[in-house]
Amino acid sequence: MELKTKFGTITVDEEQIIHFPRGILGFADYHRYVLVEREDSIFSFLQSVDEPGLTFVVIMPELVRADYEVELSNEEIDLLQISSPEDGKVYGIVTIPENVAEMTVNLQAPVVINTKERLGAQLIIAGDTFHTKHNVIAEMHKNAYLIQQKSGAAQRTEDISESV
Amino acid sequence: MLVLTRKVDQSIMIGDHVRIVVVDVRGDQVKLGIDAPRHIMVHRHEVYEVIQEENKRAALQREIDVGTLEKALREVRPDAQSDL
Repeated sequence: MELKTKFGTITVDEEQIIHFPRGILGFADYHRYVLVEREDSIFSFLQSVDEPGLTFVVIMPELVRADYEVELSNEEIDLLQISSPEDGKVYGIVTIPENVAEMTVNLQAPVVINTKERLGAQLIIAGDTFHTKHNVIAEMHKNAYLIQQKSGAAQRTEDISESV
Repeated sequence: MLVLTRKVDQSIMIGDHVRIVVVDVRGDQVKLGIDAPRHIMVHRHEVYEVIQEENKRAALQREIDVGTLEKALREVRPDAQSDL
């Protein structure tokens, strides 16, 4: 199936489709998404299969907060049919304002995907450690710096900190 | 809006599958217990609204290419540096 999306035309295979039983908050009617990842970028797209105009940009929260962890409730583990921690991949939804440099990531409500069972859900993390608007660029630089301080940094963070 | 009066330990049903129990009442605070199927999200209204609003802002309004985003990452020098 071909989808004409906001980031170009993509081909979707049935087996790539991830089912979101609860949908994404505010978009409860849409349950089928694909995750479009690129090798050359940290940015991926969470694309609705049923509404080509519905697209979210997502990144891995660890890029912004090295210590980011999501604790799933029993209900959420059941919902996502997660049998081991490796089954779950976590993403943060990025909001891109007019000035792209001010993009923020929502770490309070991450998207968790069971890549094996192709099930996904947006969760809400309790407490006030994380909020919906973490400045991506500022926090990535800070994060890269902290990682470097700790030990040998990954290629990715070296690339980023070059400009620091 | 339908308004029901309940006492502690009494409950109401919403449809066949959602049950809300009044667990405790102290002053102006009410403690509620909720039994719902796992595909139904249960959240405080304020939290739910904040996330919903943010999702609506995040859903792309215009066409975008990854190159623009990557370029911003490489070129922007964040103010946060001064905190380091």
